[in-house]
Amino acid sequence: MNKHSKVLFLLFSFLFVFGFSQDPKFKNKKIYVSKENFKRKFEASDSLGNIIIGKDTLIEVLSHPDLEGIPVRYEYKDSTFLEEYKKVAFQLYHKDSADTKTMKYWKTPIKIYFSEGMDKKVIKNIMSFTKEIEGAVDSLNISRVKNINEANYFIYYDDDFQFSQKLEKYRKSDYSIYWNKKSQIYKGYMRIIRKRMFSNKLAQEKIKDLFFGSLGWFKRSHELGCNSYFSNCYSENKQMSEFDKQLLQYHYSYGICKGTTKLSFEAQHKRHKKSLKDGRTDIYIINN
Amino acid sequence: MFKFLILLIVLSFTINTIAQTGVDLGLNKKKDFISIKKLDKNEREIIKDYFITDNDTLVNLKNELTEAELKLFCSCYTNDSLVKKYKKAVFYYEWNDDKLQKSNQWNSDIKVYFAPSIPRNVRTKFIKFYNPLNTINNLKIDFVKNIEDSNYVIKVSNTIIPNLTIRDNKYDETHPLSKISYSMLTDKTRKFYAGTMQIDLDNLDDKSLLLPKLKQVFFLSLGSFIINKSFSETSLVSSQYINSETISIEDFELIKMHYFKIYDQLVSAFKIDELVQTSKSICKNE
Repeated sequence: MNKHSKVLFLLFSFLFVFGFSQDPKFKNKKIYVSKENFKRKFEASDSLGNIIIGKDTLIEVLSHPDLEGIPVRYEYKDSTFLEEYKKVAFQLYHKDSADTKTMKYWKTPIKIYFSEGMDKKVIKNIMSFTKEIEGAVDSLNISRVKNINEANYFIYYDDDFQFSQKLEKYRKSDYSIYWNKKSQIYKGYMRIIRKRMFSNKLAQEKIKDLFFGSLGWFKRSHELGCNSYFSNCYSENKQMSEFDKQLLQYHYSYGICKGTTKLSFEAQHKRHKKSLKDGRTDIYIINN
Repeated sequence: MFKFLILLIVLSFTINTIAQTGVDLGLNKKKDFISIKKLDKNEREIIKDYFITDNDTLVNLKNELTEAELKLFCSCYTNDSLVKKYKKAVFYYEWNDDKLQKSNQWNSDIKVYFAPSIPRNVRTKFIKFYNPLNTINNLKIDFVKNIEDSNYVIKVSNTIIPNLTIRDNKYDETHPLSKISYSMLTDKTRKFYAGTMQIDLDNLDDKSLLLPKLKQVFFLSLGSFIINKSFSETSLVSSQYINSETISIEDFELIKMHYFKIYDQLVSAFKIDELVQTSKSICKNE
């Protein structure tokens, strides 16, 4: 195997979903997947042969329609940054669990519908915040819609029409999001308790805080300063700091694998960093 | 030349008061990553963590006390009688000696809105009474005319707030917490960011109690302080409080100690004891 194929095969053998692309970089390259992935994703007839590397058996395949995507160069980050990222991106099963639930992200544009009880000034403030987020993250598209049928995100007060039965039971303002098997979020609801958030100022701060969290089902960090949207404490001066932008951009970067758990995220980075250390610069990630 | 000298004195005083002391009490452990470009020469000396982005370096600084903070810390924590009162006001020591009890603080400016049902003369006296607290670091109390700008509402209740139900019925409506209630919104570090106070004015037989009740309960809500018999009658924390024109020195000292620093961690009774011990070793020269 030549150098490029080796790097690719390492990726394909490890990651959950990888594929062949029409990108010229990937033409004439051999694609290998692990035995487990082959069983899950391919028919026996897809096999073009296999090779044994150490204790692993890898099977060569051609492209598969479900696995096509755009290859993006692996995004390197130093360990300080990655440690902070892991603390917010992965929700624990329980406090002692070794692994976590998968990270979540929006794949489709977010179309927000505000209930009629929502003050215009509050809506304006929220939409200005979403513009700031869009400005920071290329792959996030957020807009306001006035037709309920076009929306996939509903923001409302507890004394308005109740869009989500689940949230109706909550005493505190909160959000609820739904995702598919690929951990891609496709719908969101946010319910604000008017009696608690009795002024526009309080309501808009709460909505911005919850909305930010719902962009990736983020776990709030007890280690980050209160001005950060990733922090678990309140601040009336919360703003998208440069650090918040970096974390959010990274979460939505196609240069990392999406929908992974913390352990697989760590393992991938360990391998990719080792590859980079070994002088390989052509590591590509394909997210579908 | 004279103006230049004045400027020099002011500058040197400012630099002195914000200078770092090398003392970290462990009250603020959260990280604030900021651009290295925003740091001055002194701040560059106290970088704790950093990481490099595509076009910048983001750094987190050590959380050391400034000279002014250290001075205030020492004046409070080496004053045994103040510490004793402080602990009684902040923690339920009389009923519970659990050292894990946590303290509460506001970490945002308090913007008070009075509902129109609160009489104007009461509002005026209340505002006059509380204005001096704005000289305290880390505590800012504003009074706003529009509820939409507020985070603290004082209003008349539209439901009955019961009298305290005590077996021997010795507390009547003169008790500070009778016919009045307050509730606060807190984050996960016990920081208040909004509150509501309600008084059952219709059922308050003695209307002259309105002002002292509002004043007293508002004070309690600045730190979820505990009503206490052992405080003097001039203190707002006392169950025997007698209405006064101005805030007592005792209460002023208490609130100054409580807000000497906004903690970004949960602070327990155990931690307060630890700070008292720390003060003995680091405050010798203060």
